[in-house]
Amino acid sequence: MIWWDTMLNEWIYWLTTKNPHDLAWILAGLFLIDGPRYAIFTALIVQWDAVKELASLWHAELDNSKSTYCPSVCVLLVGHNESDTIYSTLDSIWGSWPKLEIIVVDDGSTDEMAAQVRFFQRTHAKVLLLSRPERSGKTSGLNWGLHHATADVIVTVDADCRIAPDAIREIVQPLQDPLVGAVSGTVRVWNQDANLLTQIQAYEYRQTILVGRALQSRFHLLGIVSGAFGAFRRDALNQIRGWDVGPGEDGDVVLRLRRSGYAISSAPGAECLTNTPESVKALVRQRRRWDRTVVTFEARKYVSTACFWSRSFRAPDFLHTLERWFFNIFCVFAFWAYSAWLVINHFDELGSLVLLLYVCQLVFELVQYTCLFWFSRSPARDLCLIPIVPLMPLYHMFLKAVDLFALTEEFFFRASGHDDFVPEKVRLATWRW
Amino acid sequence: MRNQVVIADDDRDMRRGLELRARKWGYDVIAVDDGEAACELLIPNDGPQVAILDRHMPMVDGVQVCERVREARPHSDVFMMMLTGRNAPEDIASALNAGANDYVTKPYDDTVLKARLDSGKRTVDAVSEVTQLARVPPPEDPEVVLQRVLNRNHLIPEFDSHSMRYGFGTLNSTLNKWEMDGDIKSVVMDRIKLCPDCQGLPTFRDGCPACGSARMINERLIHHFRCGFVAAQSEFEHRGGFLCPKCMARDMVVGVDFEHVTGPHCCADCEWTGMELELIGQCIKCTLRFPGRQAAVNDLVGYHVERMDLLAHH
Repeated sequence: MIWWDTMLNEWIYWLTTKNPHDLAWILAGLFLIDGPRYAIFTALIVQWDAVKELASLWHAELDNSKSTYCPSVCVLLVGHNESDTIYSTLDSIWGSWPKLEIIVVDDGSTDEMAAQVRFFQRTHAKVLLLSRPERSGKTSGLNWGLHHATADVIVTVDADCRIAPDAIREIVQPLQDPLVGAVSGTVRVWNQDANLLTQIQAYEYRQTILVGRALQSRFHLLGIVSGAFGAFRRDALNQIRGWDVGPGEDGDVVLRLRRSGYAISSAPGAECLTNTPESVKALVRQRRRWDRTVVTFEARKYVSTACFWSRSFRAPDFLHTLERWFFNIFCVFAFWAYSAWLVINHFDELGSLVLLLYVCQLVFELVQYTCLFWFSRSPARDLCLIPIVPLMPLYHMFLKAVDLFALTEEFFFRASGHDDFVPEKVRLATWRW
Repeated sequence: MRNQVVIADDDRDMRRGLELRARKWGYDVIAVDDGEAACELLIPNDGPQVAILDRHMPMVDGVQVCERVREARPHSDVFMMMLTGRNAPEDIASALNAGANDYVTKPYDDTVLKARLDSGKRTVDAVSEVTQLARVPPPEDPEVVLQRVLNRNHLIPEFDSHSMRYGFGTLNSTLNKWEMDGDIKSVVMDRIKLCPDCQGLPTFRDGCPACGSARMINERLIHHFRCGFVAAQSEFEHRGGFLCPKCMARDMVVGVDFEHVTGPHCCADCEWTGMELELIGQCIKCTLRFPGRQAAVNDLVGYHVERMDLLAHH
């Protein structure tokens, strides 16, 4: 205890004797960008919502607009070698909505996935299996299923997920507004208790998907609907001719819907459980694929959204693109440049600086964690994630490193063109953005 | 089929003339000069089936020949044409009522006679064929069965086109006795699927799992690799080639730029849609249509000779 107490005293002494001007430079990035974007902004919104809630209770205003929309729904699942999970996925979906049809696309599976679906079909009606002998990719699978769908709403679910009993009811409600073209569900981690890495990802999903997307949709900045669980208006999908070739087809289809004039909403109460990577290697591979999409789409394919002189220019699309460019490209490179500057100019006090940055990040993280309970429908489960909070600043640092690598390899080497997420025959024929 | 014709006429010149003509028309002629001889030829089952009879003959005339032949062979597989100079209605009626199939008056025209003879031949040939099909085979001689067993050391059930079943027919009791004596042993030689209702032999084909219909509608789709668009081929067809309606790509080559997507099957007679058809059986005998999985599965049992020495003494 003595050495720890000594180190802490030394650090406090260093902090109190540090030139405020120097401290301001050191903490500028955190307090001007990261802090406001996540913790401060979220806290302000939560406070605003709390005030509104109190006001509505004071005036006895009841919200009767929930849960009355009842369209026909087609749940579309595309999978490749998902025999282990497809039956339980279908079991969680079937019967959860009165006007429901299910289409399962078996994309060239070499395992027993099709057999599992046929087994499910024996005892469950309105389940259509589309099977093809050779893998052609998720995009064409989704479009194939879309061609055969007849319902008003298309809900896409990953073949290795499970949805909550009321998930479909929750996710279709925002579509009651005819201007809404797609709704993002909330994705939770199914294998949360597998190891420390999955627990960290579980907390991350709560913050980025539950809280982050709820806020983004409120300000018309939501640019993605999770491929694991999302709802689309079928007419809107047919209008834009379905999905484009991925990877990142889930974000791409949303951008095209936005450009067609549709709004994107979120349904925090529509929950879906999915598996997350359980190893660092798998996690890095996944995040590289995700992080490359900002270059592939916002910086190349849809760069025209930033062309304010274009006839198809729309301010919301421009703001979304600007937000993605700034936070997902510029800030990543700026962060590491800033880190390099810190190391070069403050090498002798690097340990104290890192501790200072960590403490500040931890404070912001705790603010965000507190705000999570305003949006959460399972507070007891989220309360169990508090031991993860101190690890999040380190985790974010790790993800920023992966992000830097992904952006660099995409900018200079077009790494997305070699991603085997898309089968080779499609990869050779499609555009390389 | 036998091509014989019996010509019965007591007038030698007339008989000879008819004989020459019939031979010229390709028939094998048996000429007789009285009705008794004609009856002896026509009554046996393996005798000629076509005859030209003179009405007036000594001892047994043509009408009596018809009566006797019809009594002995009630199945109408003998064609008898009455040839006479009398053309009074009562003469014609009496001949036809006696069993004659046709009545030709003299003098006759060669062309007409030949046409009527050929027509009658065709009729009896058809009757004989139908009779053959409907005939129940006679019980097989156990000696013949024994010989077959001794030659091959095993006995395989045969398919009976009358009952539409595999089996040994009237030999079943004999074979059961031999099996009980230990001379032969039943062995399972194969396994077949039968009608669940009458155990008859069915045919199988793919069909709709819901209603059994064979009428399917398959939409031919195209998956364009570049943009991932999937739609009916008709949406891509443009001026003799293919044009993607989504990304406007032209000159698309199958396998490089796009692929065909098949399925699901849509039943034309009900609302079923799916990727896989089901095996549908239809019994040939009772015409029952049933799902293939409901077929009765039976073992095809044959016999193996256990002791050739004892069997040879039966």
